[in-house]
Amino acid sequence: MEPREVKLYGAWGSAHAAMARNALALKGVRYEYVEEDLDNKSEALLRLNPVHGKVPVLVVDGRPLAESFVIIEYVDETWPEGRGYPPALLPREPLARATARFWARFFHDEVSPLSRAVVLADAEAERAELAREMKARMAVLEAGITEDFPCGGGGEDGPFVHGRSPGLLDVILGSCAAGTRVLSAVSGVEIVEPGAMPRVHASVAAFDELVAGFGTTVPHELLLARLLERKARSRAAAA
Amino acid sequence: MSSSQQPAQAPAPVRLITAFGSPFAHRVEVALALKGVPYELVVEDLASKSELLLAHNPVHRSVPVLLHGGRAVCESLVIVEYVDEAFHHGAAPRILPTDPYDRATARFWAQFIADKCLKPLWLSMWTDGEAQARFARETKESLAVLDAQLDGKRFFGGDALGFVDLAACTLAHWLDVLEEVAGKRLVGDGEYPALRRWAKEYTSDETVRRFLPDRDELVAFFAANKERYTSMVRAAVQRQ
Repeated sequence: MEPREVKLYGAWGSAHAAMARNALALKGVRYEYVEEDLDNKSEALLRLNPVHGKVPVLVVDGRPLAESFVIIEYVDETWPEGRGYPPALLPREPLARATARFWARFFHDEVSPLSRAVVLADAEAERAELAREMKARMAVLEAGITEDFPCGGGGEDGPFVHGRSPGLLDVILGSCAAGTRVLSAVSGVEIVEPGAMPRVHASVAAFDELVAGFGTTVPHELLLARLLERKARSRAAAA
Repeated sequence: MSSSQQPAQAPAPVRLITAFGSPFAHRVEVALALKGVPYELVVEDLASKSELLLAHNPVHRSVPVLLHGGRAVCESLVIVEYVDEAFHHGAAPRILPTDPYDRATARFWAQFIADKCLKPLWLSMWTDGEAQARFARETKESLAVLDAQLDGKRFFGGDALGFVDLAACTLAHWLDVLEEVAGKRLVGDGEYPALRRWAKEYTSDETVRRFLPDRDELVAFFAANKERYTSMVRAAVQRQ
């Protein structure tokens, strides 16, 4: 049933790796963690994820799984609430599950690509414009969450999107929060504005508190410095 | 399409908003048929979208949209998972495997097909020059990976048709139509033999066959929209 050996390949600063680590930690799963240097990837990582060569990779009893959302759902199904593990990350009801997956996909397709673009943009004006576009798409997400997950939020059943305990969307948003704050810093645009995005903001704030003990958070200054350094190096390599 | 056999306790009616030629709508129709779900088809003219569509898929304004008991489900692979979960009954085939590791593997490949195959494929058809070459290269690399992944299996999940096959349906019935309309040949003679074999298996499956649009009509449809696709893709590529 549950795998005996669980190993996760990740990298600090990788939001997707953080999603996988946070999901495992939320479920109380004991696992071996392998920190990868993304500029010098191990032979093991490339062998375990030959298609993408990226983190995170979850290895369960020697068998690899890649892609953060895939890993989150796998963790949820493998250590289920029904067998005494912490609350489910995906809702029980099929329609609610579909809704959660829809917004996860929206974040992946519409929001995430912009985050890379913001970092890579050279001109401050361009970064600001991209960040504003990102903010606009996050606003769509906020509106969708508000309509589709009415029980959550600041009321009795909050503070997470999914309710009193974190779910798929909270793991995704919460794990991306540090990176999003860096984007706000380099663009001068507050992407997750509390007043404009109360649901997302409440989820992220609660998630930050929850994961404080997981060892998955990265200090803002470190992450910012790291991203700027990688950008400078990739520009130098291209020149 | 309605069934003459309704279960004793009539379930909430199912409607599917679709449009001619959409491989995404095709995925859902096959899924519904595999589960034996009766549904009403609402065919959209995407050049003149209905209030029904705009109301139920305000975010993307695209098909397919599944309407079940007044609620909407959008995004074809999300709908397929929904159909697999909400309409499952003892005799019905499983679209996703039951084992969590196998399910995760299926989801991984479906995402790979969507992100690394279908996206650059579409872009390669309606661009030119360096951009076209780049998208074509990415598509071909992904097709090679898929070809290797099939590894002699009848379908991506083994002996029975499933989630990944539905995700890849564009490659089985739409790819050569796109090549013909765009005037761009992506797949050379003899390339990707496992994928070709799979395409034949897929398109001759007794359930799938019922929901494959007529090829000549598909060619005419895509040809009529070629200019629109080209300008949409050009705008998207410029924003990258």
